[in-house]
Amino acid sequence: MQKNAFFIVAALVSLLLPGCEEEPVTIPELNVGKRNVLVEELTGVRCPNCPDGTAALVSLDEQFGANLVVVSVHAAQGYDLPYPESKYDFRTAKGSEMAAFIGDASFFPTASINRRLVPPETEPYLPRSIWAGIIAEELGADPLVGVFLSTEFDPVSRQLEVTVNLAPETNLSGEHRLTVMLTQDSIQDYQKVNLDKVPDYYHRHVLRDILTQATGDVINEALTPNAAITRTFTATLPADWKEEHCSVVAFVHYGTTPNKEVLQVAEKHVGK
Amino acid sequence: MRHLLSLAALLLLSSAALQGQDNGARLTGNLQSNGNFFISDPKIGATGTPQYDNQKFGAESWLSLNYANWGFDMGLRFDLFNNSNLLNPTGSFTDEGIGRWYIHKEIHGFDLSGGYLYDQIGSGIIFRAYEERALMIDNALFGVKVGYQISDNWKIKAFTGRQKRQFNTYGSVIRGGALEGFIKPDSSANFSLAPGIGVVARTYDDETVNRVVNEIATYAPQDSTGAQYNTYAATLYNTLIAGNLTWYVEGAYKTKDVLFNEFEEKVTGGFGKLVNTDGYTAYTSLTYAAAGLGITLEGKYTKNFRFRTDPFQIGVQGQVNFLPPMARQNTFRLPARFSPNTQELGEKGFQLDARYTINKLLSVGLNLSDIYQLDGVELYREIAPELTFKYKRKWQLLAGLQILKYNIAVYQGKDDYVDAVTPYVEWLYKFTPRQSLRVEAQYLDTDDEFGSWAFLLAEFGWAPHWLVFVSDMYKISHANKAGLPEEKTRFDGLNYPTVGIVYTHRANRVSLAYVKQVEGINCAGGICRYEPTFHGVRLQLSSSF
Repeated sequence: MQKNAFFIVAALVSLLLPGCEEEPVTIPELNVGKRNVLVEELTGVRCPNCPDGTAALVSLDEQFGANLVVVSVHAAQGYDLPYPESKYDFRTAKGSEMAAFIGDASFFPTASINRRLVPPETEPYLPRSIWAGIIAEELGADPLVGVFLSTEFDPVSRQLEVTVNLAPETNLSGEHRLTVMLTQDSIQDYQKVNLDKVPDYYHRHVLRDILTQATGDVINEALTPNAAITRTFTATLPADWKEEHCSVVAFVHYGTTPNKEVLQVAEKHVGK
Repeated sequence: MRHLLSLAALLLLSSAALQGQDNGARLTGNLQSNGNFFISDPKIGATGTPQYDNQKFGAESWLSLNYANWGFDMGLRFDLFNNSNLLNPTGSFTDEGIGRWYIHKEIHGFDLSGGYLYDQIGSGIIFRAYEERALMIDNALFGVKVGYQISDNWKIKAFTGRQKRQFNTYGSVIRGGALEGFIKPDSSANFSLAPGIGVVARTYDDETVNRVVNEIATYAPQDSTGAQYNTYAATLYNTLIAGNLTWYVEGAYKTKDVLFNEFEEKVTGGFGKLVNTDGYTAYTSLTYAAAGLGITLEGKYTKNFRFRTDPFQIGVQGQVNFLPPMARQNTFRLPARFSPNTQELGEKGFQLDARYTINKLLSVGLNLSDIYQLDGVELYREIAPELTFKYKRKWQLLAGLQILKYNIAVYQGKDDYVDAVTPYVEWLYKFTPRQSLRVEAQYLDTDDEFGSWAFLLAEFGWAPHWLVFVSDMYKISHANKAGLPEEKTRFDGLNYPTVGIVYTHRANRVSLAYVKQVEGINCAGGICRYEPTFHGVRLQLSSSF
């Protein structure tokens, strides 16, 4: 009996103790290539913790520049209702539809990174702690399709023409979709920030409209190299949208559940 | 693979059950089912989720079968979630399959188990695998456990596996063990010791480490931190029983661990980053029990003791351990409205619970709880005196008062503090030994959050089968709404009625209720989560056999 006990204790100790000093894990250098990354932040005017998430994304935006495209979708369930004193209602029917299409969110701040499902998460909306790491992973990948944007804006009629060119890098099979959005940056209005209701908060990268269907327009043409696909869209910007703060965001993505992943995204400012 | 294993386990159990039916074998089981019919009501915020908008119905069910024969214990549990909002209160989760199976055998002092296992070391501070269905916690360890009875008073166990996540497992490997004993010098001694020591190691999988280093790679040099695959936690605990005193003490230390600290500020701006730090927890409880008197005093100090199977998991998911709460779990509706969530990154607090029976008619109680952040910011304070008066066997009255201070900014991210005073009474009257009426009345008086609430419940019991209840939670209107924000007054004057019936037959219980329930925090053992408004019909069934 005592002999058995000895073996048990020995096995326990060997199970738990490290055999030798663990090799330190190497922190890799950031690898940023031609791939751009789309971050869709789910937020709301009444969401007290969301500004912390926005601040983190602004910081990452400054770090990665044009390779990172951030869009704030005001569709956070229970937090997106504007205050009576708010100047704007950032909610849009298409924005809510798109947010629901991406997945379910159960915590805030939250954002989807290229709409990627990251196991063991069961929804594309990810906690703030994981954003930078997934962005870094995505930036290191090669884009499968090129997305190129050009815009023409007439300040008199306020008409905006958008041309999207898609140039696949390889043969892409399955269903692909194109989504084109309009965003507006630096809008001053009310926002709950932790305990305070801040009247002059700068809302960043706000989704204002979607020029395609909220779930994306299905691309019926074959996506093959050397066969560029072109789509054009027109929109009239409302008078109170400052064009110098407006941008067009276009991206190609899968459109079926659970794979709604974004393959490539491009952003182009409207105003000069 | 998952279905193959499940099928094999099912076949094994079925075959064993059939063969063992007439040779002293024992087959037991239980079923728990919830069905929720959702009725949209935008006025109270019961809208905007898949269940209210489209699905209209959600269900959860757990069917367990346990079989014992030839010295073996084995079990199987079928779990079902159909459009359930239990995993994500604002989402919808549908899946079904074998949620648990296990085999256990004792042989020559060895205790062998395999499958999905529930267990803990000490009070759970470094390891606890458990199930809490109301919060969708199922932290079973999918692995093996070997125990050995060294002597009459000493036993040892070791285990290894991965933590369950719904119908899958996390990537990280958890392994550990404990040595526990019982010491009593001789039979005449009036004291005994029950010491224990435990160790747990968690090894991140490559995917988790890659995610960690990719995250850290984006940090500015001042924020950058190292990372490692392995983290170890050790705990030392003892229960001393001397006469009427029982003293439990446990101290635990965790080596460097990559964890997310939402309160740390990055040099580039914004709060929340991965840190690589060690942590510790000390917990003690002292109980004195004598005729008519019971006193328990608890204290806890925690620093950086977030211990997850995946550092990016938040809320109730992926917890390797369990930190004992420093506040009681209130059962009455309004006193339970503001419950404190255990703070894994740091808190210190104490709790006192005293009960004294003055005579056969009257007993009194007092519960005190005071919890602080490590920097001295007060999180929670509860003072709750209570008395119970029993008049023969005819009626019984329980009356209490809760004086509460609740840091709703930390616990729920809104406003500042809630200061509330809540008197409550429960009166139980027995018409006959089989027929009784129970009435609850509560009033939560506060100027904070949404303001004051009142609650009234009447429950008529006709033993042994029937129970009928009706209740209403009413939001007291603000006397003067001028100048108050709309979110503060949005529930003013609303009623949240509930009416239901329960039928019990032996070990079977069926309840059907129409429910209107305000949003709030649902807690169990200091683990809390947000529960959205509910409006609809709730059907619940539980059965044991």
